[in-house]
Amino acid sequence: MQEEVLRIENLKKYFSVELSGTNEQFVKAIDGVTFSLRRGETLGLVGESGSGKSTTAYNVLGMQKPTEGVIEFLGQDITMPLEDRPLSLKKQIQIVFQDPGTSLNPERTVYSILELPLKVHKLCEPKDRIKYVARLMELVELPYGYMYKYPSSLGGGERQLVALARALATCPSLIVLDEPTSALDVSVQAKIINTLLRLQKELHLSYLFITHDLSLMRNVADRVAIMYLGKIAELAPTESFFSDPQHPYTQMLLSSIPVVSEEEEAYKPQRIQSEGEIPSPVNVPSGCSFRTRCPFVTEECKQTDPMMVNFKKDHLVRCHLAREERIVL
Amino acid sequence: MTSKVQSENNVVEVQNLHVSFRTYKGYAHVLNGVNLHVRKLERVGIVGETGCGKTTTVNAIAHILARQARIDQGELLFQGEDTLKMTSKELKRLRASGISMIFQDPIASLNPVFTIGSQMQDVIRYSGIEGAKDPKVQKEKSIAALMETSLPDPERMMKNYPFQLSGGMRQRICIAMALATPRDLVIADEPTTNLDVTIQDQVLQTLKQRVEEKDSALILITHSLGVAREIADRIYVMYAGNFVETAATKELFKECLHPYARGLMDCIPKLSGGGIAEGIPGHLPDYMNPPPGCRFEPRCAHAFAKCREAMPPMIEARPGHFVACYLYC
Amino acid sequence: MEKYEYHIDVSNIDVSKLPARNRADDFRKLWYKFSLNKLSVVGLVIVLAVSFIALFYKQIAPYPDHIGAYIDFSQASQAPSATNLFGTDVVGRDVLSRVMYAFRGALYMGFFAVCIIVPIGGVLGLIAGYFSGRFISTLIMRVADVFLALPALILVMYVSSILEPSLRNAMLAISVSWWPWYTRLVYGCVTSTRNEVFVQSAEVLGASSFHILFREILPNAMAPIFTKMTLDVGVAILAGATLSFVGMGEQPPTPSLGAMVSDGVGYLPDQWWLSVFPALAIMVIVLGFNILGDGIKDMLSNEE
Repeated sequence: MQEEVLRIENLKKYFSVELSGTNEQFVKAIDGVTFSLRRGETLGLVGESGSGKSTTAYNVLGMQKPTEGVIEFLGQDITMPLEDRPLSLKKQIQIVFQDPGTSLNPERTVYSILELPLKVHKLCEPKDRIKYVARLMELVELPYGYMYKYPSSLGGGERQLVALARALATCPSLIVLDEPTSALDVSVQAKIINTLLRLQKELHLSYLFITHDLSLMRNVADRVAIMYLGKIAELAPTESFFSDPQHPYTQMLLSSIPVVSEEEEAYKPQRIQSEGEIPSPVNVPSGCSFRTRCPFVTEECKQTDPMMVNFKKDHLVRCHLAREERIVL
Repeated sequence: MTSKVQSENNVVEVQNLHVSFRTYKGYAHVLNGVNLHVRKLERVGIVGETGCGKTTTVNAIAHILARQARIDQGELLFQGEDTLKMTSKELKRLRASGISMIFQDPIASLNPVFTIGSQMQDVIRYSGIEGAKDPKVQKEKSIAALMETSLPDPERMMKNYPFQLSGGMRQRICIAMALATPRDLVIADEPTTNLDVTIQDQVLQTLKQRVEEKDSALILITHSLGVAREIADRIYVMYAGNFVETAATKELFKECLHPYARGLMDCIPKLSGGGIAEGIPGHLPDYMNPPPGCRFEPRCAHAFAKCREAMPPMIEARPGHFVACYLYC
Repeated sequence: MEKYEYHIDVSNIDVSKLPARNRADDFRKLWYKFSLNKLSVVGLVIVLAVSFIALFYKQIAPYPDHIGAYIDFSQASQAPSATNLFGTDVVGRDVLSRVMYAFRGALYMGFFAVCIIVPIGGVLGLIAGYFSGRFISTLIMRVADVFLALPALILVMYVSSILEPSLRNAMLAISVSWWPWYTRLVYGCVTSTRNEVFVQSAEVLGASSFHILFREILPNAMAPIFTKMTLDVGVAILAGATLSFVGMGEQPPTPSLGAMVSDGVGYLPDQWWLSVFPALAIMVIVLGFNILGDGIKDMLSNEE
């Protein structure tokens, strides 16, 4: 059994939205999230806007401070914000952001961007830095010629490769990837994903992989968690998640993916017409938060928020209609 | 011989279009002899990756190319008329009542300081239809258009500002604006790329419906083959300024002939699992110094000497299925 | 707990294959962006010409000694002619040579005012922006607000009148009233850049506040700073001319453009050349810097 790299228990993050008068409302970005991640594993977080997947990532990194809950990294509590984290911790957890256009400083060359982590963490002598930068570029298969280019002359895929190389520079144990290929073309995505998987095998990296693309998730993640309005709706190993989706939201999402062949169509669950807009996280519906869009909604759904139920081994669902074997959370 | 399909039935005809852009190092020869036609009521998809020239092509059709662009050669016919010879008055009429466009980013297409109502009314005012100058008619038609795109409560929507609405709603409003008055052609440039998956599904269905109801032709640009498969009757696959393959949708997905198209198809993550293909090695060619022969040759696993000499012509490899590749000559 | 630490292995890097920095290409790109608008090149030419004239005054001016106390009533009040392109003034001095010399004072004024204002105002803006929300930031910005609320020209004249009229004191006066513009500009840049993703990336990587402020945020403020600097040289020159017009700048007999205009006003419209040429000179200089400023803005803008 591999060691547990990351453990999150009942994580909550509320943002207060000040309204005039006495009524203070909260945006419940995350409302009780629990999962864990092992060494060398990829956990996928799937969800649409307002689901809280990015917020979860930011809380793990320390970019935001959790309202409540436990975050443990290699057994250590890390619920403190970035300013309070020791440098050695920052070395261990890194992130690749979604938009390659804004995650690289447009005024700095690729060399100086990749040099920064080497400088900050004093990973080598100043004279050796160029060698280290070269090696990092090799790792992500970027040609040396790009070393002194500015981000504006690189394509989106190349920028993401630079962002990835930067994240790898400190040899972290955990990398959070927040929609790393959403803005990229399919062929470029293929290259980056294959690089990610190769490096994961070589260097025993753990990935928290966030995306809305379920087809991609199918080929990348070991386990998948789908989030809706701040809560996990379903959490399961990939095989089970895709072959036996239990939660109506999972089924809705799966049925609306555009696919490229008849065989693929067969893998999708029966078409559930997605209706309505995603409710605002300020006004989360009472009872089960998905009930406003759920085709199977019952009276119970409107009253009580369902508990997480063990549908199969390791396959958890938060739904009144799931067949219970054992109540877990 | 390039395949020319000339008939009075064509809404748009592009023949041998060459477009280049001025940069600090010289001219970038982007479009390299593009041939395209769209029949009345037909839905055509242009699929290609970033930088392949699809936006340039449709911008040329709608005559909204950037200042640095230069049309070197070619013909652009709209409803049989030569648009390159049109006066600016005629071009204005073209844009007001002939062609409408839906862009990728709805935030950028809608003016933040005007209400939805006033923007829709503007569209109608300049369309030149009967009663266009009458505010009552404008209001009526605006509300009708909004209702047809199944937007909730159109009357109230007229008074809203763009920032009050979600991405999916904004895009539906853009669709409403594009089809508020009868159009011969609607061009949608990556209309759902920025939207969540379930919303994307809704918006695409709306677009398909409205285009059918209003008897318009449609050109849909996307980098996702899956999306094209859902909407288009016929698809053009584009690479580095050329169309490399075109066929009816069913035909194309049954069998991809061009190595690039096949590579693209392989890179798409499949719901059935099995990993993602390695991607297509290499980069887009340098448009400043494009290769004289097939532009895909440097990256092609099946290339041979003839591919470097001259551009392969578009030939009919199967009935109704055209490829530009020497493998099929 | 077993530690899986991997290290980056650089043992087989071939140093000879590593590229060198090609600065020439960077400059070529900058020049292209700058020269897209032909007018910017015109502005550059004007500024260079003016600077050239100011530097090489002695070699170019037709009558170099007319700048001092020179009197020749036989040549006084001559209209523009072949020997005196801009005519002569009431004591016989060549107006062209004096205008050329006056360029020196004008440029000196413009550049040095900017050289004082920009570092001071800029650094204050950096501090205020980075510590936004804290007391020091509020203090700096409110003090800046006070200075900005006072009408600039009045303030400048007031300061000038307290100090002895001279070129250096005119510069001081302008600096005192103008620094807040840069503070505000930089403050705006810093507060908006602070929330950018690449700054967050640097924070996640563990970079120090100093590094983030000076190596991540500041480079992104350089474009507006340089643009404004260029434009301000022109405006500073104009302000200087205004000051010397009312007698608070460079003192006679050293020629200064404003003073020359002022002296010649009394002789309008007969001896029009006494005021018109210096005024035209001011206009050309300021225009040149303005157009150049536009070009610099285009050059530093980051669109690909």
